[in-house]
Amino acid sequence: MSFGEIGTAALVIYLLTLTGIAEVARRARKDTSAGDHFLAGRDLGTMVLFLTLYATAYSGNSLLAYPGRAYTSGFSFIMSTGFMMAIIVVFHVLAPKLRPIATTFHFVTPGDWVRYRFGGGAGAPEPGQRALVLGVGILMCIALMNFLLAQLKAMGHVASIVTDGAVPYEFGVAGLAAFILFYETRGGMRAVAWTDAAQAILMLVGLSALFAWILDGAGGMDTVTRTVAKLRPEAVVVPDAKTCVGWFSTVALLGLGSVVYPQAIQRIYAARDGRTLANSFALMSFMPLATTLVVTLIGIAAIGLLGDIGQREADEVLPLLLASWAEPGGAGQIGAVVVFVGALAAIMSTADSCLLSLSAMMAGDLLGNSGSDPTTAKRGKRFAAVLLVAMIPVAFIEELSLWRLLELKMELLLQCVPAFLMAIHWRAQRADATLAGLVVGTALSVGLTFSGFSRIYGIHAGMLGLTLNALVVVVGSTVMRRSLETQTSDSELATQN
Amino acid sequence: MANLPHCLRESAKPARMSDIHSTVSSDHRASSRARARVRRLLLAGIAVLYVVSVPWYRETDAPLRVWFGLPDWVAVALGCYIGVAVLNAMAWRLTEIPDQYVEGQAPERSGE
Repeated sequence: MSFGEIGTAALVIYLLTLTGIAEVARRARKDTSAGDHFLAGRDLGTMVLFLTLYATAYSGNSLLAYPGRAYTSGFSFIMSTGFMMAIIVVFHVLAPKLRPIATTFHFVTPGDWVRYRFGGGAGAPEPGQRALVLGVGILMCIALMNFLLAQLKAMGHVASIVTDGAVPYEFGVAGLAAFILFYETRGGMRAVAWTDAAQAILMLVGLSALFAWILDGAGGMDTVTRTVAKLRPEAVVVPDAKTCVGWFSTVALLGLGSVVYPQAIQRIYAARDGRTLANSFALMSFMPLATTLVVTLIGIAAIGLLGDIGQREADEVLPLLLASWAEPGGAGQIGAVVVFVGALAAIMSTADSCLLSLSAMMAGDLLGNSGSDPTTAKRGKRFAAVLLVAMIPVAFIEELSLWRLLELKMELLLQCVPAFLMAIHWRAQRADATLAGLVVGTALSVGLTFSGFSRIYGIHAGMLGLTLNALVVVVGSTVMRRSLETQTSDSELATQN
Repeated sequence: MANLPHCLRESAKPARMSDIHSTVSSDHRASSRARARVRRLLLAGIAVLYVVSVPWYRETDAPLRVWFGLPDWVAVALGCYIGVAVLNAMAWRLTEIPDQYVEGQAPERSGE
């Protein structure tokens, strides 16, 4: 059998398995509420929660873009292991405080937290609360659409490679998107989480096999390093000061930005209990070593294995390596198919989580429907369908690199950090100041990016935007609080007189 | 307990059920505080490891030295990240995440 035939057969088996899982998930449904559809009835156990967190966090970017980045940057891309780990560290700031409030007040979307936090208690909402919910919702939806677009592009690409062109790029994008829509609308978060678990296992097996093959062929890591040092000395030297600043900036950018991923926040809500959530995070701490480190070393080994393939081909590093693994046939061919299907699984698992969160946020945060309203889940499903149909033609355009799409998304998400990470700890924070910070921070980071200054001395535009954003929030909240206190004491004096 | 003198047996017994609850709850509070302290130390350790993981303190023209199959500065960074993974997993095991929000527990919503 040829590579394409094995690949097509594996793809069909994989899709049939997903159909079965979706059907079981649909039958496990307890009711038709938004909580059951979008959060699996808030009953995800440790292993499923861990695997869904893992499959969602490690996307097409991790498997296709990261080897390309390691190939071009050299050993300094070891920073990727650090920034993926930083996500689970930064969750310490958010999850322990957000989780009890979310379960008590039945949150479904990230906007539910913002609505609650700046809700003004028993009285009227704080000035700017509604606009802030909308602003956070819009930024998160744009970032998610960007992320979903990257996954759709990667999906078409991998489907075409794994079937050796039997499934064309455009058909891969449209067909697999329709498939995601099918299992997501059938089984909601339960189907997404269970398919994520299956996808995570495939991804781990595939990557481990590929790495073992590369090390075996290259004669061990020591030989890889010495070969890279000969072929491209700049890939092994100690990074300069600017790269070190960029390293710190990237760790902060991805650590802070990824924590406010809507799908990550929704998994905090969906855990069965607090202990389950903490145990899942404890397990997640080790996954960058099993995934990001492996893909980084694969990308570095490619410097010796593939020679000079040029910057434009950087996203092709993994497919090119797999093609050379599959070339002699036999076990290598089957191994390459497993990695491709694993990569496709990783991409689909991220895409389905993005789509589910997008539909929940559009129905809940942007249109203001309540999570307890039974029509919210139905509206969310319709939004998912409309969104996907609208995005497929955009995904047909193959120009932006996957890495650039990821960075743009992060710069926007980062501006939502004060509404979550600061607001959960600082009682005096005000909605209008948070909204002002969000607007100013977004304007600065988007303005800098579109003016060609995506980094200034290694620091990302998004991080500069966040710094300004946080300053506006602190100064604005402090000034407004003092002015309110003055007004209150003046009115008390007036009452006494 | 049966072999103890009468006075000791009496003093060893809690006087009322409320005493049992207060003993248990003060023990729980003390253990929670100790866990929180260790957790904070682990998180501080993680911060230090992140600072050390970036080779800002190294000369850029240093000759290549290979440790465990990797350039030495990469091996240091990787060692730090393995340390971060272990400390972070321990910190999460020590993290108490309540399932219900108790009024008065920070953060409170604005206006309350």
